Amino acid sequence: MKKKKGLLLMLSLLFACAMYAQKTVTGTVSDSTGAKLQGVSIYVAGTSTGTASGLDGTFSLSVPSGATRLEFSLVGFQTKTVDISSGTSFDVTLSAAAGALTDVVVVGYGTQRKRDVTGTISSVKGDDFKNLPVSNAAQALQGRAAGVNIVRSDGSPGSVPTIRIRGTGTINSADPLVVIDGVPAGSLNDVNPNDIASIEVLKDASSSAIYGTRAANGVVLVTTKKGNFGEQLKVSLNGYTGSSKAIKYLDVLTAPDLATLKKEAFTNDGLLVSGIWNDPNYATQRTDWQRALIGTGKTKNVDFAVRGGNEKSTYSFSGNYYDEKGMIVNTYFKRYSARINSEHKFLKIFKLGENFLYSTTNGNSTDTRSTQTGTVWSALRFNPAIPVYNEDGSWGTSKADNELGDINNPVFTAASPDVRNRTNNLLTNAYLQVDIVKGLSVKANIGYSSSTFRGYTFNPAEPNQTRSIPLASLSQGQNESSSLLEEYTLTYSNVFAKSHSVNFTGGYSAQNFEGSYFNAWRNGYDDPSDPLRNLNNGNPAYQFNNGSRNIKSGLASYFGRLNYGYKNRYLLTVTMRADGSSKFPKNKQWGYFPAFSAGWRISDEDFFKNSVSFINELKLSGGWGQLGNQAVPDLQYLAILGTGLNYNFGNSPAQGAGVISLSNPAITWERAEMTNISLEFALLQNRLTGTLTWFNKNTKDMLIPYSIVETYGIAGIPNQNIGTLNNKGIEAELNYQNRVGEFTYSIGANASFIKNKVTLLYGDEKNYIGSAIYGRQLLETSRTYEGQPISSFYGFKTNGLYQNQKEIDDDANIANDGNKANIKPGDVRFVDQNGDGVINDQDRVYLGNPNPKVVYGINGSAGFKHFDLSFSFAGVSGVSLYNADRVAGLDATGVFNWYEEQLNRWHGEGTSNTVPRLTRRNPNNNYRSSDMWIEDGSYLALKNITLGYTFSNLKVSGFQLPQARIYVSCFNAFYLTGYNGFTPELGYTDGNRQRGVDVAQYPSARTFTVGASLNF
Amino acid sequence: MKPKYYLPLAAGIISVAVIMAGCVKQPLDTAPVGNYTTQNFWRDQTDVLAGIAGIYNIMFQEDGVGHGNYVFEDQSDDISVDGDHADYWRIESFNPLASDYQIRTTWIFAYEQIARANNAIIYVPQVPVMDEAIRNRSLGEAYFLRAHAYYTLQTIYGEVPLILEENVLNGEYNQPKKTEEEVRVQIEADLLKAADLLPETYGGEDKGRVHKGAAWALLTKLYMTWEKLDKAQEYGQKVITNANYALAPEYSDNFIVDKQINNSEILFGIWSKDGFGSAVANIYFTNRAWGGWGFHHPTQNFVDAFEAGDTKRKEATVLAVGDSIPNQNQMIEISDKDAYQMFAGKEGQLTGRMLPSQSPTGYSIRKYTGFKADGSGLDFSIKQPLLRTADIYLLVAEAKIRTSGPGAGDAEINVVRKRAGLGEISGATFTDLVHERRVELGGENVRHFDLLRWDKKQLVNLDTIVNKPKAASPLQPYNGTVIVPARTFTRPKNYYQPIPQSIVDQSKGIITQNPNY
Repeated sequence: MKKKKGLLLMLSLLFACAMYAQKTVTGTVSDSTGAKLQGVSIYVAGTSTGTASGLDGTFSLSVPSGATRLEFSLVGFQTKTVDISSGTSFDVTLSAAAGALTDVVVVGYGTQRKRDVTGTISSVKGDDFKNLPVSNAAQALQGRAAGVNIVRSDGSPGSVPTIRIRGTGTINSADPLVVIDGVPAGSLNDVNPNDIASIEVLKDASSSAIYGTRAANGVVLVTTKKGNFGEQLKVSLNGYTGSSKAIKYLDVLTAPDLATLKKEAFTNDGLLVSGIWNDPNYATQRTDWQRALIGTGKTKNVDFAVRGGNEKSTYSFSGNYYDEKGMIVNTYFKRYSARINSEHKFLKIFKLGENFLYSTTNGNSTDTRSTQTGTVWSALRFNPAIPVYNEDGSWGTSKADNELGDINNPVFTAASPDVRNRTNNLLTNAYLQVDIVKGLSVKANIGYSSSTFRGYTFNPAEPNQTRSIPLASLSQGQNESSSLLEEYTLTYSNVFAKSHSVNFTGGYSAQNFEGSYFNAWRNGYDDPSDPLRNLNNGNPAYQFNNGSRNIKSGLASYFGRLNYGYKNRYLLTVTMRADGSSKFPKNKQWGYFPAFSAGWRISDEDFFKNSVSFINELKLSGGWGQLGNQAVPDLQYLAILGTGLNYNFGNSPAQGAGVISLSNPAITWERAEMTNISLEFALLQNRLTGTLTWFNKNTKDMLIPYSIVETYGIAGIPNQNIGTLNNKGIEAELNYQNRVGEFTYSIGANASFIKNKVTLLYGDEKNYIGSAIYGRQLLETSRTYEGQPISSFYGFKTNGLYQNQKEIDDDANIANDGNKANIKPGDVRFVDQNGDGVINDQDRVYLGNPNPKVVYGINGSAGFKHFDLSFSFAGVSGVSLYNADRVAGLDATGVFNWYEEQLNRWHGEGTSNTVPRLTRRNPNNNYRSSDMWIEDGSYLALKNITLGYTFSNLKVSGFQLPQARIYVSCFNAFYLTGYNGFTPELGYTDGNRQRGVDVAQYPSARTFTVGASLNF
Repeated sequence: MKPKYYLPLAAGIISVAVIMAGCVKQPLDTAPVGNYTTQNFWRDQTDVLAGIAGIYNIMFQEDGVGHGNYVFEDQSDDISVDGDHADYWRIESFNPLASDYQIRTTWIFAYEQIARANNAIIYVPQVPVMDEAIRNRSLGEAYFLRAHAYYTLQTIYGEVPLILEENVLNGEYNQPKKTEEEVRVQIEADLLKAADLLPETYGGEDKGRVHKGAAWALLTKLYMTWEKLDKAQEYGQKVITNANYALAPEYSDNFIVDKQINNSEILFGIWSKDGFGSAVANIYFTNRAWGGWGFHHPTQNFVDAFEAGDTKRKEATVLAVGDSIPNQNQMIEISDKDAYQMFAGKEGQLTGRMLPSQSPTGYSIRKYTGFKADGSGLDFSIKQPLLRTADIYLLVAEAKIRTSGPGAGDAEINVVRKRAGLGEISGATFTDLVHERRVELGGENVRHFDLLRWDKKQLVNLDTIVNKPKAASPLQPYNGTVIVPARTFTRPKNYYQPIPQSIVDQSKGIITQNPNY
């Protein structure tokens, strides 16, 4: 209520100002060192009235009536707004902008001048990615920071991409720790990207060490926008709306072509042609299933923020509504979020503050992984002669014949369920800081986060689909998790004898995690209409319920970090920590992890300053450190018994139990050991800045399931500290910004070159970490084994197709193969690797690397008068993809539709060397895992391009209107790629064990948006 | 406030903070909430009963006992594979790959059955207080189920590693294969213990548990594959002379839900219950139009084996075009391709009978197909018999004929024939016995394992059987089409399936591949 009054007051004040007479404002502009700045553009906020500062930094400007604020901007410096309502003369200090080495970056438990940082940190400002039509900031980060790979596994609304910093560091969870305003919890999906002031990515051991317990895969520090002390109230309103369409559809056969080719498949094997393929009904084209399923999506976003402060307090309040309807029918994601924070100084030595973030989301995402119910997979396979709806309005079905496949109408599968998956997230912390004496302060921070997921899925009965749903079903579930954090830190900083600067941060932190879930379902609803969809109305004869508390886990750490600088030229950072984790048995809980880094600011050396004038900054730094990783399942030191292994005796059910996982009493911390060397520079009056880094990261004692022969059954295998994984590479970032008259522009490029290799696993190539077997062809696409990159593609090498019988008879690859007699021209020539003249599993080899060797981005922006333009490219290179969907698209044994490419099949000598003959029985197993399905996955995508126009000095009936900007933008504008599937951005399909496998994932969309922003 | 007060105030607040510290209590001291571990299980009788039910639970495994193990019967001449599982096709054509899915799943689920039984064998004796009768029975069940898993492994893979109690306690799973003799000795020992510990029969609430009769029956089967005909007779007689294990009055009683629970003939079966856990042979054997997936279809070769009057068994075993089944209420439109036999000229009409388009051979196995009376589709309460007394009668007959010549098994064969409504035969030869086993046990995953052991003793020649193509019905629209062309049986390779490739690789040379794979 109070806030509302304040808002009204401020608004009336704004209008009152309009009545003031014109006045002249004068002053000087300087940088933080006191140097006068020339050429600073000075405008009355929201108007085109302005001037520029002179050689001595002075300015003089006649401002119109009603003007209350002046904006000062200069390339290389942060734009500053000054309240001029209370005077006519102002001395303004501009601070250097992002990218310059003088900038301040957020580090763990504090901030540091970038020039003093000895670790490697990439920083991205929120302004660089505001208003992109994405639900979370991770997507917006793509291509913006060297060494940071944003991997989308799914284009469905609300899906969160995977972040990989410096490669995939472990077979276990390799996700970085996300810290939002100092609380290490939550996900980037909780925060409206427009609320983010900056994202810092801590990449090396030394800078991440302060968050050591979960920092082995890097740290993403999110700092949200806050009010400033002494800053008048600002209100901003922002909204956009967008429309999404598929970037690409795949070409599949039409019904007449399909019927013709199906007949050929039977005839080739001497089999009776299944009657359906002579039925003209199934040679009539009716439905393009991809377009029936994948249509137009819509995105809407509205947000507002109120921020400001006085001498003692700051405040910020913001809210957001985001609504995305996916391209696939019935998929959606909505988010409402609110964020409040404030900070208060009192009694001179105390500072008290809090952050409060609440978000509620609702969504549905269709299954696009399964080869049974996957909707995109089904749309590519479903017979094109079947209509979406029959004439009587019922769903088209494949039930008529085995030859139509055992899958349901994909539009039915996507459209019929009523799914409301709601998540409520709370992320909050409060802190108290006491500045005991100058340079010495202590801080206590208590954080709490909780997440409640409530699932609701109703499936109506549908007896007429092949996989029929005899009874309507409703299932509901709830999953809660929460975490409590406490941190106590002590900071001491001082400068001794003018040249020795010391900054020490030490402390204790502890965090625990707990949760619980329950779920229940009933089948059989007499009246399936929405108002009666309650569990109570289901048939109690068909019901199920289940629930449990989650295993509690906890972390505790003692840590200390010392920064030492000598004359600002020689810098040293030492971090030491002791980390405990409840995931390990009592005697293995604690791990000790040191980290060091040092820097040399060469540009501050006299010999350098005097001789090399075009280089403004030059810093050489390097570091080494170890970090612990414990992101593995709990309780692995005990053998776990599972209940629910039930049976029946007589006519009654009986509860059953059994061991579901074996134990490893010696399990302990996985260690990531990192070394890196960096060179940072700024040239040409800081217009060109750059960083070049070499790093080498070894993950030791990697926790992997120990090698055990499957004579133990099917229980889970606990992890053992056995593997070693290496990621090494080079990162480069380069930024250039300049101004020519009223034209300002900047361009940045970044790239990382990473080589990933499993250096130690089970001691031989045959033993490996497998991954999910895919599809009807039971493809083993990927395995992780010694000497190759993680999740390498694996299978047979091929050498074209046999063109005639003689080629088969003469082929040394199958000289002794018992299957030779069954192989026919048009079959695939598999390569015999071990020279035994038999094609069998021993002939499988490494086929490719799904981890890109190069990940890069190019970003730019330009402004001219009222126009602004920005763009962002992201790309990868040196990467293979496994087009597993193409296997299904060509598999002649399958009872499904095929790719249009099947028209090019082998059907006589010389007709094809890539698409095998059509055979139902497929005696040569043409569709096994082989290099036929491996494609180059390099791409360059224009992820975003935005054009904006800012209106200023707009007046209605003499009243000054707020500054307004309208913009149009296109997200995922285009991909340059040779890859044949929907999208080359495939992501992960089985944790880190499988990557880059095309399973007909939810495709990426191209989105056009228009939007407007207002700033009061 | 004056600056001199700040320090004490700060000290005060810091002390409050220090007191507050520790609001995250003992973060590293977490109890295994919500989970049983081997530290807190096997405390009492309830745990024991659950632990034993947990072993039986593996019977439901779709890719193991519940259905997957039936795929090996497709190597016989009785049934044929349909559907899109390429590994099934390769198994049928005697060309399985060591890396084939079914080759691995049969293995791992059998060893899981062994793992669960091993745990019970280790921990049941340590439970301090429980009903001793139940303790004995439970141990007996564990021994039986371990033996059953090893019997499955031995008949499918030949030589396999033995994982016993001490291996579990020491975590030693990489064990070399044991000879067939050693594996059989272990199975025998377990079954003898089981026969000793188990009760002869159960009250209604415990039907479905294994009893002495099941142990004796499995011993009989073991001794037959072991070629110990005397022992087989000895234990077979214990089964067939015990009224608790009498044949059901009607052959079909073994395959109808209502007649299964109290059926004395089903010595061991999978005790499915709709909605509470079930095996899935019903889905795999029932045709698609009726709610199944139609993966295995009987061949004309098999249908031809029934004698003219053998209608009871034929009707309970095989569904042919035009047949109907109670409570099957899917009405299907007769299409052009169905308009043959009794459906000729009836295009466009609706029928609940089996149509030609429902099977590539013209037949379906009926033994696992039942429909719920309320019309809601396939009945998942149908039990899958794994051991029937009729099997034991015929094994005793076989042992007698092979020991004492034609006619020696007449009595046992005639008990089975009589129940089938057929006339007695006399002077029954080994060939008669082969015929009787085929038609009595059709579709029950027995035929191919019989053929294998007989071929090894050169009592039958598998070549002459697999050289004959598998054919469809002679009627329209099939016209006797060849479903599976003549196949080649390679000795000794095809006596057993390959050891799963993953096992060979994981063992680093300890477990070797079977010959010729």
